[in-house]
Amino acid sequence: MNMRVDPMPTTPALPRRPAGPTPWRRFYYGIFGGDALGLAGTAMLAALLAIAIVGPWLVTHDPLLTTPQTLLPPTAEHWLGTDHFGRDVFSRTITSLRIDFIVAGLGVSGAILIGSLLGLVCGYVGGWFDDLVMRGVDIVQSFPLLLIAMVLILVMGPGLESIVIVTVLINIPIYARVIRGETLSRKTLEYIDAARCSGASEMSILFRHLMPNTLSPIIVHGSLNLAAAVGNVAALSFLGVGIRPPTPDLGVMVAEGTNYLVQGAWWMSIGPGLVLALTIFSLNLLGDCLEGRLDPRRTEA
Amino acid sequence: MTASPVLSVRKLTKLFGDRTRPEAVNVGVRGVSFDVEGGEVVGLIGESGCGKTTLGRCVVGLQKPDDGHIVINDTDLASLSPARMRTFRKAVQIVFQRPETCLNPRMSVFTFVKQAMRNFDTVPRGHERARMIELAQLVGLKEEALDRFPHQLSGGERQRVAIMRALACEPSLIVLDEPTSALDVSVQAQVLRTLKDLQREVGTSFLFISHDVAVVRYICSRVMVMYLGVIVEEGPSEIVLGHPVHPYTQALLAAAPRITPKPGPHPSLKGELVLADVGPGECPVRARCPMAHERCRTAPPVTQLPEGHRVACWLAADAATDGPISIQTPSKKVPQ
Repeated sequence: MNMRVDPMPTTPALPRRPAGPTPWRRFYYGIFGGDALGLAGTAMLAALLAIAIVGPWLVTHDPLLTTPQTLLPPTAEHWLGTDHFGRDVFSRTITSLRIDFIVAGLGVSGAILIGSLLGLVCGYVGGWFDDLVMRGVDIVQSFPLLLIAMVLILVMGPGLESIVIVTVLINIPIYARVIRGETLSRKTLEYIDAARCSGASEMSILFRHLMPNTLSPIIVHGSLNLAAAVGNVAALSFLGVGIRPPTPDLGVMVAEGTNYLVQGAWWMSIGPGLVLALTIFSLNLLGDCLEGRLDPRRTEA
Repeated sequence: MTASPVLSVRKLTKLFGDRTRPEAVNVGVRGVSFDVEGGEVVGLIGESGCGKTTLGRCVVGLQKPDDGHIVINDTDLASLSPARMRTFRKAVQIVFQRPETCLNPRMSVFTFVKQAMRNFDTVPRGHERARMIELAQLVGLKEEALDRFPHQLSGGERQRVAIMRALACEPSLIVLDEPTSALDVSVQAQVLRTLKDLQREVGTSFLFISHDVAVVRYICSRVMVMYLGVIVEEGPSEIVLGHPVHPYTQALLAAAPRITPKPGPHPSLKGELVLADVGPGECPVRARCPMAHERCRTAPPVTQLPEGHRVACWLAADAATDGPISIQTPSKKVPQ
């Protein structure tokens, strides 16, 4: 048998790295993790927010001003035509977007604030307080959202404040549940015991040690929830219990437009409808992107 | 001894029942009594689930005992109101086992440790930084580590921070609950050396909980061996770990790996711990003890041997009255 010495295997070459990071690459991969849809959603949302913010300087007409020129199709004067009262649809759409963002934003922020606080205290204290609050949350969640919202608004009377309050109320359960769960899983960890041994008061344990560690899921839930809230406000307005005419609202405008669709006045609904869809779509894209980026279990290597 | 012990535990009981299996023996701590003197390092060894950690958590007041007394510096923990308990926690501190979760992930080391100084007023305001640098040197941390967050530190560094936090309270006793078992062997050795040097320098008493015989042998002057919530043997480490009397201790030591194995037969326990085999009121080791006999159906008395060596075994009780101890000759076995 002839002896044969195998040559030493050479060290396999490292896979060639992609070219050095350009600013674009750093932005795209570093912030969005290569998620094109997330980037698209963020860009769209940023554009819509910008439009909403500079809205008052962008409008071409007074959104509430009625004129005799009713149901005009889109022209150079009225970019999206006019409605049945002769109001400029473009100006009304932009004003609506602003109002809807404010209402949904306030509602979701309020829900985050109250819901997180309730969840935190429930998870930490437990006992009858936890049972009481969680059964309340169960009750709220057991009704169809729109139904409970409509009843509440009928009780409180219509108005922007009522819609904000209702948005807060129907979204509290989401945050209360999520934060309660986070609190439950963290309150038995050693650093909480260590803080207690360091002589930390219950308040300090709750707000300095537990709370900052339970808040990360809120970002994801918040963006997805904001999409739902914008839709809900529009839906309530569409059903006639939300924002009342003549205050412009995307839902109201779509609802009014449907009455004139048969007459061929398609421009009354299409503008506000598209803006509404884009808003919800972009918020959902952003939410999905955030979920993937912030939850380490879902990130692909 | 004239000075009263730093920690005095009397008949401490804390049991956890399994509601799905009510016939099984409850696990936890059952009627444990011991003292820790000032400046002493006492080891507590035993297998997983024997109640070591529960005992440690009760001692620092993180768990309320079902029964019994824990007296620290002449103060009974049970007599303290919640408000006084908060300030009293200064006296006894704990270092936990798992370095991943022992630090608040959203707090820098400095903020985390400063809280202890603030709450107990151990350092005058404005001097925290200087004191912290001192402590960091003591536990072998670099000064830069103070401004880092836990995820920027290695496991060994985090454990050093945990020790630093305990020291910042200036306690009279630190419970170390397996502080090195989650670390790499090389890091383990460094942390152990730090702990030993530290203890010599600061003079704080340690209650060192571990399942590692070698670690306890290295650091402790006195050792307690626990099995199923009961201390079965207790005494100076060189005696307990050198010439163990209780069959369980012998088996535990024989199971620990050593470089030069001892010649001759090794005493070992039978099978694994099965809670259902342990009857109430009997010696907890009986079901697995190679030398069990009929008398073990009643719990053995604690026999006092010379030099503070105490053993809870009938064989030791016999030997103490009959003459020299001969452990290696098993008495007549009773078939079970």
